[in-house]
Amino acid sequence: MHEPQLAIHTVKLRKAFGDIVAVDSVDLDIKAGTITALLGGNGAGKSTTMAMLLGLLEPTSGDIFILGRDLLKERPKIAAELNFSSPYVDLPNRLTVWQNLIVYGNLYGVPHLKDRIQELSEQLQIVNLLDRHHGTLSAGQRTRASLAKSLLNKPRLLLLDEPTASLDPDTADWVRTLLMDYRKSSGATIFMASHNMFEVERMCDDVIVMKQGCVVDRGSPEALLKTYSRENLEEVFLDIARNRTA
Amino acid sequence: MTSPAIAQPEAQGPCALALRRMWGLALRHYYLHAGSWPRLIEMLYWPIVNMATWGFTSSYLVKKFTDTAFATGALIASVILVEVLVRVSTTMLMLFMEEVWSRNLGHLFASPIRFREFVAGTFFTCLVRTIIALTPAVILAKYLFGYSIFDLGWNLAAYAGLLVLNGCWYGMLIIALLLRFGMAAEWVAWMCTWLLIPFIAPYYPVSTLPHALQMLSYSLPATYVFECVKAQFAQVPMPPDNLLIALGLNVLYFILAGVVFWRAYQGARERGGLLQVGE
Repeated sequence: MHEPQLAIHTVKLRKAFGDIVAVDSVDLDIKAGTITALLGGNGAGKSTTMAMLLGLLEPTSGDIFILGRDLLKERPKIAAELNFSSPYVDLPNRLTVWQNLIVYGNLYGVPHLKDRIQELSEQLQIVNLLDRHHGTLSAGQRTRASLAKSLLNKPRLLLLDEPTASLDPDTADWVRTLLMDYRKSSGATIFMASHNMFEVERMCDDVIVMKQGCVVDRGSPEALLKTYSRENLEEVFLDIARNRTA
Repeated sequence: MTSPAIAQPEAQGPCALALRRMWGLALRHYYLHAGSWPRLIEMLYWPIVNMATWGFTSSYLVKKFTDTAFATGALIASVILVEVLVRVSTTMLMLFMEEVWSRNLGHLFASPIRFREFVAGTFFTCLVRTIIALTPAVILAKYLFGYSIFDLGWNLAAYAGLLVLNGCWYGMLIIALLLRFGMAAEWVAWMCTWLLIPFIAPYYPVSTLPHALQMLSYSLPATYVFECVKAQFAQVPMPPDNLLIALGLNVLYFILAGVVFWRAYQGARERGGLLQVGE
Protein backbone atom coordinates (compact mmCIF):
# COMPACT_ATOMS: atom_id res chain seq x y z
CA MET A 1 0.00 0.00 0.00
CA HIS A 2 2.68 2.51 0.98
CA GLU A 3 6.42 2.13 1.01
CA PRO A 4 8.46 3.22 4.02
CA GLN A 5 11.17 4.68 1.78
CA LEU A 6 8.67 7.29 0.70
CA ALA A 7 8.53 10.35 2.92
CA ILE A 8 5.32 11.54 1.28
CA HIS A 9 2.87 9.35 -0.54
CA THR A 10 -0.52 10.63 -1.61
CA VAL A 11 -3.20 8.73 -3.47
CA LYS A 12 -5.74 10.62 -5.56
CA LEU A 13 -5.60 13.60 -3.23
CA ARG A 14 -8.45 15.99 -3.86
CA LYS A 15 -9.66 19.18 -2.24
CA ALA A 16 -12.74 21.07 -3.28
CA PHE A 17 -14.19 24.22 -1.74
CA GLY A 18 -17.78 24.01 -2.92
CA ASP A 19 -17.66 23.99 -6.71
CA ILE A 20 -14.04 25.08 -6.84
CA VAL A 21 -11.57 22.23 -7.09
CA ALA A 22 -8.25 23.43 -5.66
CA VAL A 23 -6.41 20.10 -5.86
CA ASP A 24 -7.54 17.29 -8.10
CA SER A 25 -6.42 13.68 -7.97
CA VAL A 26 -2.81 14.37 -7.02
CA ASP A 27 -0.50 11.38 -6.56
CA LEU A 28 2.81 12.24 -4.92
CA ASP A 29 5.71 9.88 -4.28
CA ILE A 30 8.48 11.78 -2.54
CA LYS A 31 11.51 9.65 -1.76
CA ALA A 32 12.98 9.89 1.71
CA GLY A 33 16.16 11.95 1.90
CA THR A 34 15.48 14.02 -1.18
CA ILE A 35 14.77 17.69 -1.75
CA THR A 36 11.70 18.15 -3.92
CA ALA A 37 10.21 21.37 -5.19
CA LEU A 38 6.56 21.99 -5.84
CA LEU A 39 6.19 24.54 -8.61
CA GLY A 40 3.17 26.24 -10.05
CA GLY A 41 1.63 29.63 -10.69
CA ASN A 42 -0.69 31.40 -8.31
CA GLY A 43 -3.77 29.27 -7.67
CA ALA A 44 -2.10 26.10 -8.92
CA GLY A 45 -2.86 24.30 -5.65
CA LYS A 46 0.58 24.35 -4.01
CA SER A 47 -0.47 25.97 -0.74
CA THR A 48 -3.57 23.79 -0.51
CA THR A 49 -1.43 20.70 -1.01
CA MET A 50 1.04 21.88 1.64
CA ALA A 51 -1.78 22.61 4.11
CA MET A 52 -3.15 19.09 3.59
CA LEU A 53 0.29 17.54 4.14
CA LEU A 54 0.54 19.48 7.42
CA GLY A 55 -2.86 18.24 8.56
CA LEU A 56 -4.22 21.79 8.66
CA LEU A 57 -6.68 21.08 5.88
CA GLU A 58 -8.84 18.00 5.54
CA PRO A 59 -8.81 16.49 2.03
CA THR A 60 -12.16 16.05 0.31
CA SER A 61 -10.96 12.60 -0.73
CA GLY A 62 -7.77 10.61 -1.14
CA ASP A 63 -5.11 9.33 1.21
CA ILE A 64 -1.95 10.88 2.65
CA PHE A 65 0.91 8.81 4.04
CA ILE A 66 3.74 10.68 5.74
CA LEU A 67 6.86 8.70 6.68
CA GLY A 68 4.86 5.51 6.15
CA ARG A 69 1.96 6.50 8.41
CA ASP A 70 -1.58 7.48 7.57
CA LEU A 71 -1.78 11.22 8.28
CA LEU A 72 -5.53 11.28 8.67
CA LYS A 73 -5.36 8.65 11.42
CA GLU A 74 -2.06 9.42 13.17
CA ARG A 75 -1.58 13.17 12.78
CA PRO A 76 -0.18 13.99 16.25
CA LYS A 77 2.46 11.23 16.05
CA ILE A 78 3.48 12.27 12.56
CA ALA A 79 3.49 15.96 13.49
CA ALA A 80 6.26 15.28 16.01
CA GLU A 81 8.51 14.18 13.13
CA LEU A 82 7.82 16.95 10.70
CA ASN A 83 7.90 20.71 10.83
CA PHE A 84 7.37 23.65 8.54
CA SER A 85 8.19 27.23 7.85
CA SER A 86 6.20 29.72 5.84
CA PRO A 87 6.42 33.48 5.49
CA TYR A 88 2.61 33.49 5.50
CA VAL A 89 2.20 31.88 8.93
CA ASP A 90 3.66 34.06 11.67
CA LEU A 91 5.14 33.23 15.00
CA PRO A 92 3.65 35.32 17.82
CA ASN A 93 5.02 38.83 17.34
CA ARG A 94 4.89 39.83 21.00
CA LEU A 95 7.07 36.97 22.17
CA THR A 96 10.84 37.12 21.91
CA VAL A 97 12.63 34.69 19.62
CA TRP A 98 13.84 32.77 22.68
CA GLN A 99 10.31 32.57 24.12
CA ASN A 100 8.88 31.35 20.81
CA LEU A 101 11.52 28.65 20.61
CA ILE A 102 10.86 27.58 24.21
CA VAL A 103 7.10 27.40 23.53
CA TYR A 104 7.46 25.40 20.33
CA GLY A 105 10.20 23.24 21.79
CA ASN A 106 7.73 22.18 24.46
CA LEU A 107 4.95 21.66 21.93
CA TYR A 108 7.26 19.39 19.92
CA GLY A 109 8.66 17.65 23.00
CA VAL A 110 12.25 18.55 22.13
CA PRO A 111 14.70 16.92 24.56
CA HIS A 112 17.46 19.10 26.09
CA LEU A 113 15.62 22.08 24.75
CA LYS A 114 17.88 24.89 25.92
CA ASP A 115 20.94 23.16 24.46
CA ARG A 116 19.09 22.65 21.19
CA ILE A 117 18.09 26.31 21.03
CA GLN A 118 21.66 27.35 21.74
CA GLU A 119 22.94 25.03 18.98
CA LEU A 120 20.42 26.30 16.44
CA SER A 121 20.94 29.93 17.40
CA GLU A 122 24.61 29.61 16.60
CA GLN A 123 24.01 27.76 13.34
CA LEU A 124 21.37 30.24 12.19
CA GLN A 125 23.28 33.22 13.57
CA ILE A 126 20.40 34.46 15.67
CA VAL A 127 22.15 34.51 19.06
CA ASN A 128 21.91 38.30 19.17
CA LEU A 129 18.23 38.16 18.23
CA LEU A 130 17.06 35.81 20.97
CA ASP A 131 15.91 38.64 23.26
CA ARG A 132 14.20 40.58 20.48
CA HIS A 133 10.45 40.42 19.96
CA HIS A 134 9.57 38.54 16.79
CA GLY A 135 7.52 41.51 15.60
CA THR A 136 10.56 43.79 15.66
CA LEU A 137 12.66 41.60 13.34
CA SER A 138 13.39 42.36 9.70
CA ALA A 139 12.07 39.99 7.03
CA GLY A 140 15.38 38.18 6.82
CA GLN A 141 15.67 37.85 10.59
CA ARG A 142 12.10 36.54 10.79
CA THR A 143 12.90 33.93 8.18
CA ARG A 144 15.88 32.74 10.22
CA ALA A 145 13.85 32.69 13.45
CA SER A 146 11.11 30.76 11.70
CA LEU A 147 13.67 28.32 10.31
CA ALA A 148 15.02 27.83 13.83
CA LYS A 149 11.51 26.90 14.96
CA SER A 150 11.15 24.52 12.01
CA LEU A 151 14.42 22.74 12.82
CA LEU A 152 13.90 22.53 16.60
CA ASN A 153 12.70 18.93 16.59
CA LYS A 154 15.23 17.80 13.94
CA PRO A 155 12.35 16.94 11.61
CA ARG A 156 12.54 13.93 9.32
CA LEU A 157 10.32 15.83 6.93
CA LEU A 158 10.64 19.58 6.51
CA LEU A 159 7.94 21.44 4.59
CA LEU A 160 8.94 24.88 3.40
CA ASP A 161 6.83 27.49 1.70
CA GLU A 162 9.07 29.88 -0.24
CA PRO A 163 11.99 29.53 2.18
CA THR A 164 13.96 32.45 0.75
CA ALA A 165 11.13 34.84 -0.04
CA SER A 166 12.03 38.44 0.83
CA LEU A 167 15.67 37.59 1.56
CA ASP A 168 18.57 39.41 -0.03
CA PRO A 169 20.69 37.25 -2.38
CA ASP A 170 23.46 36.76 0.17
CA THR A 171 21.14 35.65 2.98
CA ALA A 172 19.10 33.53 0.57
CA ASP A 173 22.24 31.72 -0.56
CA TRP A 174 23.26 31.18 3.05
CA VAL A 175 19.83 29.70 3.87
CA ARG A 176 19.98 27.35 0.87
CA THR A 177 23.38 26.09 1.95
CA LEU A 178 22.13 25.57 5.47
CA LEU A 179 19.12 23.58 4.27
CA MET A 180 21.22 21.41 1.99
CA ASP A 181 23.64 20.77 4.86
CA TYR A 182 20.74 19.80 7.08
CA ARG A 183 19.47 17.33 4.51
CA LYS A 184 22.96 15.90 4.06
CA SER A 185 23.71 15.51 7.76
CA SER A 186 20.31 14.30 8.93
CA GLY A 187 19.03 12.39 5.93
CA ALA A 188 15.80 14.36 6.24
CA THR A 189 13.42 15.00 3.37
CA ILE A 190 12.70 18.55 2.30
CA PHE A 191 9.57 19.38 0.35
CA MET A 192 9.32 23.00 -0.68
CA ALA A 193 7.14 25.32 -2.66
CA SER A 194 9.11 27.98 -4.44
CA HIS A 195 8.86 30.55 -7.19
CA ASN A 196 12.63 30.91 -7.37
CA MET A 197 13.75 28.73 -10.27
CA PHE A 198 17.43 29.30 -9.61
CA GLU A 199 16.90 27.99 -6.10
CA VAL A 200 15.04 24.94 -7.37
CA GLU A 201 17.75 24.11 -9.89
CA ARG A 202 20.44 24.43 -7.27
CA MET A 203 18.81 22.58 -4.41
CA CYS A 204 16.33 20.05 -5.68
CA ASP A 205 16.60 16.43 -6.75
CA ASP A 206 13.08 16.42 -8.11
CA VAL A 207 10.53 18.91 -9.30
CA ILE A 208 6.75 18.58 -9.41
CA VAL A 209 4.82 21.08 -11.48
CA MET A 210 1.19 21.84 -10.69
CA LYS A 211 -1.34 23.70 -12.72
CA GLN A 212 -5.02 24.25 -11.96
CA GLY A 213 -4.91 21.76 -9.12
CA CYS A 214 -3.28 18.94 -11.09
CA VAL A 215 0.26 17.64 -11.42
CA VAL A 216 1.20 18.34 -15.03
CA ASP A 217 4.84 17.29 -15.03
CA ARG A 218 7.57 15.93 -12.79
CA GLY A 219 11.17 14.86 -12.91
CA SER A 220 14.65 15.98 -12.00
CA PRO A 221 15.59 19.54 -13.03
CA GLU A 222 17.93 18.08 -15.65
CA ALA A 223 15.24 15.79 -17.05
CA LEU A 224 12.74 18.64 -17.33
CA LEU A 225 15.29 20.85 -19.09
CA LYS A 226 15.93 18.04 -21.54
CA THR A 227 12.25 17.30 -22.08
CA TYR A 228 11.43 20.93 -22.84
CA SER A 229 14.75 21.59 -24.58
CA ARG A 230 15.34 24.63 -22.42
CA GLU A 231 18.33 26.26 -20.80
CA ASN A 232 16.76 26.86 -17.39
CA LEU A 233 13.74 25.98 -15.28
CA GLU A 234 12.26 29.46 -15.64
CA GLU A 235 11.72 28.80 -19.33
CA VAL A 236 10.30 25.37 -18.56
CA PHE A 237 7.92 26.94 -16.06
CA LEU A 238 6.76 29.49 -18.64
CA ASP A 239 6.29 26.76 -21.27
CA ILE A 240 4.02 24.88 -18.90
CA ALA A 241 2.19 27.97 -17.67
CA ARG A 242 1.52 29.10 -21.24
CA ASN A 243 0.54 25.67 -22.52
CA ARG A 244 3.53 25.30 -24.82
CA THR A 245 4.04 21.57 -25.26
CA ALA A 246 7.30 19.79 -24.52
CA MET B 1 23.54 20.86 11.46
CA THR B 2 25.87 18.60 13.30
CA SER B 3 23.61 15.96 14.71
CA PRO B 4 22.37 13.40 12.21
CA ALA B 5 20.37 11.50 14.84
CA ILE B 6 16.69 12.21 14.64
CA ALA B 7 15.17 13.11 17.99
CA GLN B 8 12.69 10.58 19.28
CA PRO B 9 10.36 12.47 21.61
CA GLU B 10 8.49 9.22 22.34
CA ALA B 11 11.36 8.32 24.66
CA GLN B 12 9.93 10.86 27.12
CA GLY B 13 6.67 8.94 27.50
CA PRO B 14 3.26 9.93 26.16
CA CYS B 15 1.96 11.42 29.42
CA ALA B 16 5.07 13.52 29.97
CA LEU B 17 4.88 14.74 26.38
CA ALA B 18 1.21 15.62 26.71
CA LEU B 19 2.01 17.62 29.86
CA ARG B 20 4.88 19.35 28.07
CA ARG B 21 2.59 20.35 25.20
CA MET B 22 0.02 21.77 27.61
CA TRP B 23 2.81 23.50 29.51
CA GLY B 24 4.09 24.94 26.23
CA LEU B 25 0.66 26.39 25.53
CA ALA B 26 0.47 27.85 29.03
CA LEU B 27 3.99 29.31 28.69
CA ARG B 28 3.01 31.03 25.46
CA HIS B 29 0.33 32.99 27.35
CA TYR B 30 2.51 33.56 30.40
CA TYR B 31 5.20 35.17 28.23
CA LEU B 32 2.56 37.23 26.45
CA HIS B 33 1.05 38.59 29.66
CA ALA B 34 4.31 38.99 31.57
CA GLY B 35 5.67 41.19 28.79
CA SER B 36 2.56 43.32 28.34
CA TRP B 37 1.40 45.75 31.07
CA PRO B 38 -1.79 46.69 29.17
CA ARG B 39 -2.82 43.01 29.27
CA LEU B 40 -2.06 42.83 32.99
CA ILE B 41 -4.11 45.94 33.68
CA GLU B 42 -7.02 44.66 31.59
CA MET B 43 -6.89 41.35 33.43
CA LEU B 44 -7.30 43.03 36.85
CA TYR B 45 -9.45 45.97 35.79
CA TRP B 46 -12.96 44.58 35.27
CA PRO B 47 -13.28 42.49 38.43
CA ILE B 48 -12.14 45.48 40.53
CA VAL B 49 -14.39 47.99 38.75
CA ASN B 50 -17.46 45.74 38.94
CA MET B 51 -16.87 44.87 42.57
CA ALA B 52 -16.31 48.51 43.57
CA THR B 53 -19.31 49.82 41.59
CA TRP B 54 -21.75 47.31 43.00
CA GLY B 55 -20.22 47.44 46.45
CA PHE B 56 -20.60 51.23 46.77
CA THR B 57 -24.09 51.12 45.26
CA SER B 58 -25.08 48.47 47.73
CA SER B 59 -23.58 50.37 50.68
CA TYR B 60 -25.55 53.44 49.74
CA LEU B 61 -28.84 51.55 49.35
CA VAL B 62 -28.37 49.74 52.63
CA LYS B 63 -27.75 53.01 54.51
CA LYS B 64 -30.68 54.70 52.81
CA PHE B 65 -33.40 52.09 52.89
CA THR B 66 -32.60 49.31 55.31
CA ASP B 67 -30.41 48.32 58.15
CA THR B 68 -29.92 44.72 57.03
CA ALA B 69 -26.17 44.54 56.98
CA PHE B 70 -25.93 41.35 55.00
CA ALA B 71 -27.14 43.02 51.76
CA THR B 72 -23.76 44.51 50.87
CA GLY B 73 -21.99 41.24 51.49
CA ALA B 74 -24.54 39.34 49.42
CA LEU B 75 -24.14 41.66 46.49
CA ILE B 76 -20.36 41.68 46.65
CA ALA B 77 -20.23 37.90 46.90
CA SER B 78 -22.52 37.66 43.87
CA VAL B 79 -20.43 40.15 41.91
CA ILE B 80 -17.25 38.20 42.61
CA LEU B 81 -18.89 34.88 41.73
CA VAL B 82 -20.34 36.35 38.53
CA GLU B 83 -16.79 37.45 37.71
CA VAL B 84 -15.63 33.83 38.12
CA LEU B 85 -18.09 32.74 35.44
CA VAL B 86 -17.45 35.68 33.12
CA ARG B 87 -13.65 35.71 33.52
CA VAL B 88 -13.36 32.01 32.67
CA SER B 89 -15.40 32.25 29.46
CA THR B 90 -13.91 35.63 28.49
CA THR B 91 -10.39 34.37 29.10
CA MET B 92 -11.00 31.29 26.97
CA LEU B 93 -12.17 33.55 24.17
CA MET B 94 -9.25 35.93 24.68
CA LEU B 95 -6.62 33.17 24.63
CA PHE B 96 -8.05 31.91 21.37
CA MET B 97 -8.20 35.41 19.92
CA GLU B 98 -4.53 35.95 20.80
CA GLU B 99 -3.70 33.03 18.50
CA VAL B 100 -5.92 34.45 15.77
CA TRP B 101 -4.52 37.98 16.07
CA SER B 102 -0.95 36.69 15.90
CA ARG B 103 -1.83 34.41 12.94
CA ASN B 104 -0.37 31.57 14.97
CA LEU B 105 -3.10 28.93 14.51
CA GLY B 106 -1.22 27.31 11.62
CA HIS B 107 1.94 26.75 13.66
CA LEU B 108 -0.07 25.67 16.68
CA PHE B 109 -2.29 23.09 15.01
CA ALA B 110 0.51 21.76 12.78
CA SER B 111 2.40 20.90 15.98
CA PRO B 112 1.82 17.56 17.73
CA ILE B 113 -0.64 19.10 20.20
CA ARG B 114 -3.84 17.11 20.35
CA PHE B 115 -7.26 18.70 20.43
CA ARG B 116 -7.91 17.56 24.01
CA GLU B 117 -4.51 18.91 25.08
CA PHE B 118 -5.34 22.24 23.49
CA VAL B 119 -8.61 22.35 25.46
CA ALA B 120 -6.92 21.25 28.71
CA GLY B 121 -3.95 23.64 28.28
CA THR B 122 -6.29 26.54 27.51
CA PHE B 123 -8.48 25.65 30.50
CA PHE B 124 -5.48 25.48 32.85
CA THR B 125 -4.16 28.85 31.65
CA CYS B 126 -7.62 30.28 31.94
CA LEU B 127 -8.00 29.06 35.51
CA VAL B 128 -4.68 30.56 36.60
CA ARG B 129 -5.50 33.85 34.86
CA THR B 130 -8.92 33.97 36.54
CA ILE B 131 -7.45 33.40 40.01
CA ILE B 132 -4.88 36.15 39.46
CA ALA B 133 -7.54 38.49 38.06
CA LEU B 134 -9.89 38.04 41.01
CA THR B 135 -7.36 38.17 43.85
CA PRO B 136 -7.09 42.00 44.02
CA ALA B 137 -10.88 42.36 43.86
CA VAL B 138 -11.28 39.91 46.75
CA ILE B 139 -8.68 41.76 48.84
CA LEU B 140 -10.19 45.17 48.03
CA ALA B 141 -13.67 43.93 48.98
CA LYS B 142 -12.36 43.18 52.46
CA TYR B 143 -10.56 46.53 52.67
CA LEU B 144 -13.36 48.72 51.26
CA PHE B 145 -16.48 46.98 52.54
CA GLY B 146 -15.25 44.71 55.30
CA TYR B 147 -16.56 41.69 53.45
CA SER B 148 -14.51 38.56 52.80
CA ILE B 149 -15.69 36.11 50.18
CA PHE B 150 -14.17 33.40 52.36
CA ASP B 151 -17.00 34.00 54.84
CA LEU B 152 -18.96 31.68 52.55
CA GLY B 153 -16.89 28.88 54.06
CA TRP B 154 -16.37 25.60 52.26
CA ASN B 155 -19.40 26.29 50.11
CA LEU B 156 -17.23 28.79 48.27
CA ALA B 157 -15.16 25.95 46.80
CA ALA B 158 -18.29 24.27 45.44
CA TYR B 159 -19.72 27.53 44.08
CA ALA B 160 -16.46 28.53 42.41
CA GLY B 161 -15.83 25.04 41.00
CA LEU B 162 -19.29 24.86 39.47
CA LEU B 163 -19.03 28.35 37.99
CA VAL B 164 -15.60 27.59 36.54
CA LEU B 165 -17.06 24.51 34.84
CA ASN B 166 -19.98 26.59 33.58
CA GLY B 167 -17.60 29.23 32.21
CA CYS B 168 -15.45 26.58 30.58
CA TRP B 169 -18.16 24.88 28.52
CA TYR B 170 -19.65 28.24 27.67
CA GLY B 171 -16.23 29.48 26.53
CA MET B 172 -15.87 26.41 24.31
CA LEU B 173 -19.20 27.24 22.67
CA ILE B 174 -18.08 30.82 22.03
CA ILE B 175 -14.82 29.63 20.42
CA ALA B 176 -16.82 27.13 18.35
CA LEU B 177 -18.87 30.07 17.10
CA LEU B 178 -15.68 31.77 15.91
CA LEU B 179 -14.34 28.61 14.30
CA ARG B 180 -17.64 28.18 12.46
CA PHE B 181 -18.25 31.76 11.33
CA GLY B 182 -14.75 33.23 11.43
CA MET B 183 -13.88 36.76 12.49
CA ALA B 184 -17.21 38.04 11.20
CA ALA B 185 -18.59 36.73 14.49
CA GLU B 186 -15.95 38.36 16.71
CA TRP B 187 -18.19 41.05 18.20
CA VAL B 188 -21.01 38.57 18.72
CA ALA B 189 -18.51 36.37 20.55
CA TRP B 190 -17.50 39.20 22.91
CA MET B 191 -21.16 40.03 23.53
CA CYS B 192 -21.87 36.38 24.31
CA THR B 193 -19.51 36.46 27.28
CA TRP B 194 -22.12 38.50 29.25
CA LEU B 195 -25.21 36.98 27.65
CA LEU B 196 -25.95 34.48 30.41
CA ILE B 197 -25.83 36.95 33.30
CA PRO B 198 -29.43 38.26 33.27
CA PHE B 199 -30.77 34.71 33.08
CA ILE B 200 -28.80 33.20 35.95
CA ALA B 201 -30.36 35.75 38.37
CA PRO B 202 -27.27 36.50 40.44
CA TYR B 203 -28.62 39.63 42.12
CA TYR B 204 -32.37 38.92 42.29
CA PRO B 205 -34.68 35.93 42.75
CA VAL B 206 -35.38 33.80 39.68
CA SER B 207 -39.08 34.56 40.25
CA THR B 208 -38.34 38.14 39.14
CA LEU B 209 -37.91 36.87 35.59
CA PRO B 210 -40.90 36.36 33.27
CA HIS B 211 -42.18 32.79 33.35
CA ALA B 212 -40.64 31.76 30.00
CA LEU B 213 -37.26 33.10 31.06
CA GLN B 214 -37.50 31.27 34.36
CA MET B 215 -37.50 28.01 32.42
CA LEU B 216 -34.39 29.13 30.59
CA SER B 217 -32.86 30.22 33.88
CA TYR B 218 -33.40 26.81 35.48
CA SER B 219 -31.68 25.14 32.54
CA LEU B 220 -28.43 26.91 33.47
CA PRO B 221 -26.12 25.46 36.14
CA ALA B 222 -25.07 28.88 37.46
CA THR B 223 -28.68 29.67 38.42
CA TYR B 224 -28.63 26.87 41.01
CA VAL B 225 -25.36 28.15 42.43
CA PHE B 226 -26.73 31.65 42.91
CA GLU B 227 -29.92 30.28 44.45
CA CYS B 228 -27.67 28.67 47.06
CA VAL B 229 -25.68 31.87 47.58
CA LYS B 230 -28.87 33.86 48.12
CA ALA B 231 -30.23 31.23 50.51
CA GLN B 232 -26.98 31.25 52.48
CA PHE B 233 -27.10 35.01 52.93
CA ALA B 234 -30.80 34.95 53.82
CA GLN B 235 -29.94 32.27 56.37
CA VAL B 236 -32.65 29.98 55.09
CA PRO B 237 -32.07 26.31 54.20
CA MET B 238 -30.38 25.86 50.83
CA PRO B 239 -32.61 24.39 48.15
CA PRO B 240 -31.99 20.64 48.37
CA ASP B 241 -29.88 19.06 45.62
CA ASN B 242 -29.22 22.41 43.96
CA LEU B 243 -25.49 21.89 43.76
CA LEU B 244 -25.95 18.35 42.47
CA ILE B 245 -28.31 19.59 39.76
CA ALA B 246 -25.74 22.25 38.83
CA LEU B 247 -23.04 19.61 38.64
CA GLY B 248 -25.20 17.29 36.52
CA LEU B 249 -26.12 20.08 34.11
CA ASN B 250 -22.48 21.17 33.91
CA VAL B 251 -21.33 17.66 33.04
CA LEU B 252 -24.06 17.31 30.40
CA TYR B 253 -23.31 20.71 28.83
CA PHE B 254 -19.56 20.12 29.04
CA ILE B 255 -19.94 16.97 26.95
CA LEU B 256 -22.29 18.66 24.48
CA ALA B 257 -20.03 21.73 24.21
CA GLY B 258 -17.03 19.44 23.69
CA VAL B 259 -18.82 17.76 20.77
CA VAL B 260 -19.83 21.13 19.28
CA PHE B 261 -16.26 22.46 19.71
CA TRP B 262 -14.77 19.34 18.11
CA ARG B 263 -17.16 19.54 15.16
CA ALA B 264 -16.41 23.25 14.71
CA TYR B 265 -12.67 22.47 14.77
CA GLN B 266 -13.11 19.68 12.22
CA GLY B 267 -15.27 21.99 10.09
CA ALA B 268 -12.53 24.63 10.20
CA ARG B 269 -10.01 22.01 9.07
CA GLU B 270 -12.29 21.12 6.15
CA ARG B 271 -12.79 24.74 5.10
CA GLY B 272 -9.20 25.84 5.69
CA GLY B 273 -10.38 28.00 8.57
CA LEU B 274 -7.33 27.25 10.73
CA LEU B 275 -5.23 29.19 8.25
CA GLN B 276 -7.76 31.86 7.35
CA VAL B 277 -9.74 32.53 10.51
CA GLY B 278 -7.77 35.74 11.00
CA GLU B 279 -8.88 37.16 7.69
